[in-house]
Amino acid sequence: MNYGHSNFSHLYIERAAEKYAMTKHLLSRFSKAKRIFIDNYKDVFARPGQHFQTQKRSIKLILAVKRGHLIYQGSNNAQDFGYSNFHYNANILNCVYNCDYCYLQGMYPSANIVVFVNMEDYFSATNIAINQRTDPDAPLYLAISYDTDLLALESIVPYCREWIEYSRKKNNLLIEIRTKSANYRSLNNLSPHDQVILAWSLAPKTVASRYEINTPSLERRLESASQAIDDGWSVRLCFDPILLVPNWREIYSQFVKETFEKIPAEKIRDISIGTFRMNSEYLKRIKKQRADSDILYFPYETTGRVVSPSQKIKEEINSEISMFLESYIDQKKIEVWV
Amino acid sequence: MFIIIGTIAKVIITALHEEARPLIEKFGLKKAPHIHRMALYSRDDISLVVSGVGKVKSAIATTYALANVKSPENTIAINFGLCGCRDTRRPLGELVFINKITDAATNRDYYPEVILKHNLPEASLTTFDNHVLKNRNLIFSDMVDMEASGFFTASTTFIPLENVYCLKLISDHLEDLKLDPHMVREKIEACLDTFIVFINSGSKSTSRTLPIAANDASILKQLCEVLNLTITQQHQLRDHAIGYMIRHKTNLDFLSPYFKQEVKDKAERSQLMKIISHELRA
Repeated sequence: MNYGHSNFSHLYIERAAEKYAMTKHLLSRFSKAKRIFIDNYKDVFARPGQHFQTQKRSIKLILAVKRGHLIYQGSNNAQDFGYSNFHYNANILNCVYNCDYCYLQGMYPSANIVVFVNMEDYFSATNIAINQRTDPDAPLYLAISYDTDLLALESIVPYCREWIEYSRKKNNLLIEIRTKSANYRSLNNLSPHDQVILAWSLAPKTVASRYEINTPSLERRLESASQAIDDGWSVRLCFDPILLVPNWREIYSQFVKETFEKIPAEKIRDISIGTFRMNSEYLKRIKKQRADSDILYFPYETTGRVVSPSQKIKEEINSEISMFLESYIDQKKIEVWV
Repeated sequence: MFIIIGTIAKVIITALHEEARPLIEKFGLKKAPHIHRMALYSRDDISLVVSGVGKVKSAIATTYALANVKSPENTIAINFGLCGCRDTRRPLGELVFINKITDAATNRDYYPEVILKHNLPEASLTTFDNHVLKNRNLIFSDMVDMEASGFFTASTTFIPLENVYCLKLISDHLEDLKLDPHMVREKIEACLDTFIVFINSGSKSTSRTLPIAANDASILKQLCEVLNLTITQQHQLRDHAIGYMIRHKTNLDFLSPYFKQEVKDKAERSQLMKIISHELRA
């Protein structure tokens, strides 16, 4: 029996956010939700004593105005695909999914979702970043869906659409929208353009059903990606993180085969592969809260502040998976996180 | 002191005897003998403390009730009592779930978790240090009381945030009325069934699970003592042990023979720790 409220049963609204169009949209979208007014989103989001997995049973929405930095340098744990001006932003904090290996559990004190409603400020910050990019010969490469899954929330918060329209008018900008969702239909009335990469994170069926709670099936993700390719979008596939599950060779070999039965390999922009890795402090925090996932308790090695399988295991996985992929796609299109 | 292992302990804090009496009678609570400084009543897994009026007294009573609970994850705390309401459209006697508490003196806001599904109306509340009257105090919240902020701060120190609830019953619309004990009893009795449904749901919804079963935790504890492990080694051992149990879907019984091992010095301890870690990382 479920004793929890449904997701988004409550909206926490920063008083400063009230006047924004997105706030009005969400208040109308969730007209029956209880409204609680707050001074600063951190009063709710960063309260002491919260339990991430407990909050996942009934996620609340926090509507806020982002102040301070709106765009950040790319992280060392993420791939830059050779783009020198690699940045990311966070329009939304947290995700509707609940993957066992997700670093957000350790990075954020809360599982509630923060939607920053001052979109125009993000666009202004991006304009400045484009103008001030360190390598003027390359575009600003901006990942907009790292600390969330924007496309999964698109039916509620249509930010992908806004970014796609914004980037259409911008030279020297390339945005990546990474997702596990099967929600491409919410974008399919937009005409594609080449300054947007739609990137699908994929995992074998058995891995997704066990470790990627609430996510759409592999089949539905592939259908979504395939539809996007047919419509002319630039599509990236992310086989990331590759998890060291028993029989991983067979499982991932079959998974690669299944993927390219559905997706025309020659139409893929590129593929990223990478093994599990996480900031060691985040993993420590997650382990304090949960002891129910073997992925979190694998005997990893710590290098600097990053936890990952040993170099030997990483090399073995990367080499095997690359080999599987190379029978479908040019090696140059495979980006490996090492 | 209030815990019966295997069930959820319910700790209720009220300010006044008038608020407590209907609950004491309904649950058949008995006054704890030999405790003179605190009005504590209990039976089975339910305890009730009458704190007295004011946030400091409420915090003290809450601390007294919760500081030594054996299983904080299996304990819920409820601040139950009367409150004033500035909205005259809300009926007297309505039981309300408080979703935001403001301390008037510090202007600090507290946000109870609202994960538990319930059918009560919700409201914000401000805790004042003095009685509040209409037109004399600036009030931004729906309700006012004199205890909630003290109760909330104290209880969240000891038990999980999502196990802390504040339920208030509207007794007045901020008029300068003397409390009528007969009226208080009547209003509380009228909402008792709703209150009981709520605490039963709260008891079933506690969700934080202990990472290690009691027997395995005991094995680890003994091993730490026998091997005289450092704090860092204890953390490593626990980490490896959890990983082992999840991967192999088993317990830690195989570690019991190590209890007999004698460790003479640091080198021997490190050597043994290495062997055990190796087994656990398999």
